Amino acid sequence: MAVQAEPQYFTKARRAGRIVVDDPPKLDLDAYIANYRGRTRFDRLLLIGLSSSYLYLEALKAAISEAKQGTDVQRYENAVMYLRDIAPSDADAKPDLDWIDRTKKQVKSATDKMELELKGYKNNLIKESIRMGYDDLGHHYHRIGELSKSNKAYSQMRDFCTTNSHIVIMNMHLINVCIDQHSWFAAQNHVQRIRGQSGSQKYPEAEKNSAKLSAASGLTYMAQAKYKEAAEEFLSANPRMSQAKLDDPADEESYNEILTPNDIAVYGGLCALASMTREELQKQVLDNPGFRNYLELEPHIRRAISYFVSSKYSACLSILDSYKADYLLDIYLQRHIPQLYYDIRSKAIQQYFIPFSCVTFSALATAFNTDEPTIEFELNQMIKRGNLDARLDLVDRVLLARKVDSRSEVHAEALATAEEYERTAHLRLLRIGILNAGLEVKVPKGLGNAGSGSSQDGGRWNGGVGDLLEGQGMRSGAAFK
Amino acid sequence: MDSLLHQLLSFPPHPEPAKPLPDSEYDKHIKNLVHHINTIPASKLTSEVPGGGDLLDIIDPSKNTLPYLYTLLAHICGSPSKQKGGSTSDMFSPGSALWQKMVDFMERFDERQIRYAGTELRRLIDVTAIKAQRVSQPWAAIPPLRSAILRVDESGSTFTSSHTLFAHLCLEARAYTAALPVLDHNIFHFPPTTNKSAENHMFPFLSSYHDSSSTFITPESGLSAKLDYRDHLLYFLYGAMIYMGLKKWKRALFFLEIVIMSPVASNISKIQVDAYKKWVLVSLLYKGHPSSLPKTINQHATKQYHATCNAYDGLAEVFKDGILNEESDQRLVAEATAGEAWWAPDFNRGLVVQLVTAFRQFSVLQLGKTFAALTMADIARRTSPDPNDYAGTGDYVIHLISTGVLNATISQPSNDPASWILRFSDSTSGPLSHTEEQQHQHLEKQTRKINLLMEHIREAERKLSLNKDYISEAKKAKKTRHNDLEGGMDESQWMTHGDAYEHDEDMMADL
Repeated sequence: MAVQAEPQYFTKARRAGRIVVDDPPKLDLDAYIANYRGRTRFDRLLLIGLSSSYLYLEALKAAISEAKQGTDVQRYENAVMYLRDIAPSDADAKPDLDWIDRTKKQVKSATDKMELELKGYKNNLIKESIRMGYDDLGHHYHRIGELSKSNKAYSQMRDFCTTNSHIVIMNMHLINVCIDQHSWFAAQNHVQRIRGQSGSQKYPEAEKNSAKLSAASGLTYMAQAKYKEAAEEFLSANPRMSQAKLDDPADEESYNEILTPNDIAVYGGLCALASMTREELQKQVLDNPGFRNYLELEPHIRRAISYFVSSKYSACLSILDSYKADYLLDIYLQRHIPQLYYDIRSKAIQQYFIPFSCVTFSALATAFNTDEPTIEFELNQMIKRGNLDARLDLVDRVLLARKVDSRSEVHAEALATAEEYERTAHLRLLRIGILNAGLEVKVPKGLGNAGSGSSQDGGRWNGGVGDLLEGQGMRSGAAFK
Repeated sequence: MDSLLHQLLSFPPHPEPAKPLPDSEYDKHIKNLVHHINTIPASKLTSEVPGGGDLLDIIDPSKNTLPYLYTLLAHICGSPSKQKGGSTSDMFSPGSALWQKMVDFMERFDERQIRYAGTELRRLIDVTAIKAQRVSQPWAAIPPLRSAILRVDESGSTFTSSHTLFAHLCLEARAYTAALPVLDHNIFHFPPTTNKSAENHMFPFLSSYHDSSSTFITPESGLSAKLDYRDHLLYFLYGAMIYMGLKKWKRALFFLEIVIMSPVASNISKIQVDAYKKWVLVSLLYKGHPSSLPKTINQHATKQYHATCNAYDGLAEVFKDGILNEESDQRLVAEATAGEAWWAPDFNRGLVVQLVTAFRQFSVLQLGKTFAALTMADIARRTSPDPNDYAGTGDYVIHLISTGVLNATISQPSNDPASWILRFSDSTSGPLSHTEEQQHQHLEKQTRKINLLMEHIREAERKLSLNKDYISEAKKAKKTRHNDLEGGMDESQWMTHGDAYEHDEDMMADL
């Protein structure tokens, strides 16, 4: 695709504070999307279409054709609308009204049919049939994009589940729907439910799904910006999924309707980098035999982590930077990349700074591949947020470590504590004294409840003697002879 | 007349006996004397003594305090029977001879004898204050009142109605420094208004030596009028305003905190609302950020404060954000101007105006958290109202350093103020740092203060354990757990006056 002027849409989006990616990503769109299955294909394509000013046409067209293969009319309409906004002249930018009508009818009849069938099952009171009926309905609603109805249908299965495996299946479905709905908390709940169930007795079903559970759980934590928990979940993912054959829909291990093993490696690696110390990274990531299987799928993440552990921060950061465009086009990662990158970077700066008592800005700038004003601004931000215990010397242009004189620090602290103690003890003593003397604030007898408390003081308090600074000469009591 | 004089001067014996009278004797004699003086009509006291002159010229107030006081009052108020209505003699006004006698008396009365004439002393104080106010010379009453308050209670630790009166006078006279001798004494005790305390058997005689002034300043002694909650709230609020006038923010904050945390039965008082408003402003002026309310305030009161003062809370929020985000003072000024309708009726405009000046000061201080050194140009760009006014910024920073607000040094390599360099110092260097020795002294001083506080806590504990409610509760408690209790009820800790005093925290927790 030829490089052309950026459509207006992206200029506006950028102004509105949304993320727009200009750089061409490393990924190949066709190969990338082929790894996924189900609704997430469309969602991912649409996101790329709306965020990448490089791939948008390709992605949106793919999204439209993807939607057309499915039965979710709303999705199709949305995609066409976006394409019209961005590239009004494109052939696909006109909605295919025939198809919409046809599909709508199909969907309606299918829905009616299933509802009717379910009713029939209910009349027959055969639990298994009812369960299947709800299962079908849930699937159907999920396919056509009625997520809350789908959620409801799956939830109603519960009463008709007869075996543990049914419950596991139901919860797995619910997790997927919740993730699509972006209700992370509910998804986390369902994960815990399956895990809780298998806690006492081992269910083979739960064991079989353990990798998926870790992935889903990690995802929900990441979405809630709890990077440390997310990292732990991803790192403990059972390696069985890493061998999944993504192009084979029959492979039970694959979870590519949500994410791929590669995603686990990237998500887990980034969250770990952002939240763990160097020792933890070495022990829990690099030396983790289970997670290694995933890391092998994304060797550059592995390289970045090893660079970080061996204190080669600039190498680590440059790897991450080169993949930034890709990550920004990931449906789950996009929102968190700025924070994750900030965390990783500030951690790197902290670690870099530990052995020094002062470092020039220029040295820091070279070490972190940037120029002096940028690093100065960055350091300023870090100090303000409390991520870096140091101060800037703008005159000599160096970063100074805070010198701590523990002895005098302890003295000062002791003094502060003592003063605070004296103060509070005195306040409480007065309080006791006031109570004991019967002097608490109360409504005078006979007035009843004074309501707002303003009338109870009578006219005696009229706002003091006057504004303290209204007149000069009041400041020092000069009026006193 | 001679016999009258003789009776009046009969006690204390003159010349003083070599061996001081025991407390019980002293008590008996002086009570007789008081009883006797009360029967003498005022006209007799004011009449001239044979041989010319006035009783006041003959009696020495430092020796025969009581007759002198009664005579003085008789002169000022006329007969005791028509003392109501505050009718005072015209002879009694600032500058007159009679006024001079009163001032003289306040300086010289005997601290022991005066305890037997608390009501009369208070009347003298009240009359003095009222008179001074009436002739619009409130400052005239300040020195006599101050010495009266301090001489009755040297420790200044017990609150009396005269305290409120005094603070009010000082505020009215704008004589802030003159108020400090009284205000700087910490209040620890309040004379009870209810009759819940049991009989005080520890110190049966007023004239004895008392560990704490709270044992002789009681409702019966008359040294304080019967208090109600407004008295102490007003005293601390007036006090706080006096400290504000002197810009002693720390102490002002403490006084205000006493007001807002005063126990509340149902609704907070308007005095407390006013104090809260000032408290919000003063904590910004003192600390540069809003402080959180003391924990002892109950939720209901907290809600009421926030509901009635949200304009102030909003202003504090703007101030804090402005400092943290290194913004210019535009938002604060806008907020302060917009809220004019709130500050003016509360008489807080002066404080709000100071807030804007303080904003700049705290912005400069805030820089010290991030930077070790900057040029004046940088500081001007970040904090000054006019970012290009380097010379003005330089002067301002120098002013901050010289007034001890900013712990930093400045170097001036050239005459161009833009190139001046400000270096923030850390705790161990710079003009405000303390040597080890100084720190040690501070700690010692603080230890002494806490020890003093401990004594008062012990005293409060003693009083509490004499409280009738407490005793009946303790009895009940004893009954319910008499099985596992070996001794009697808690052996009163104040009896063992030693240092073995481990349960002070428990006392706090109980309340």
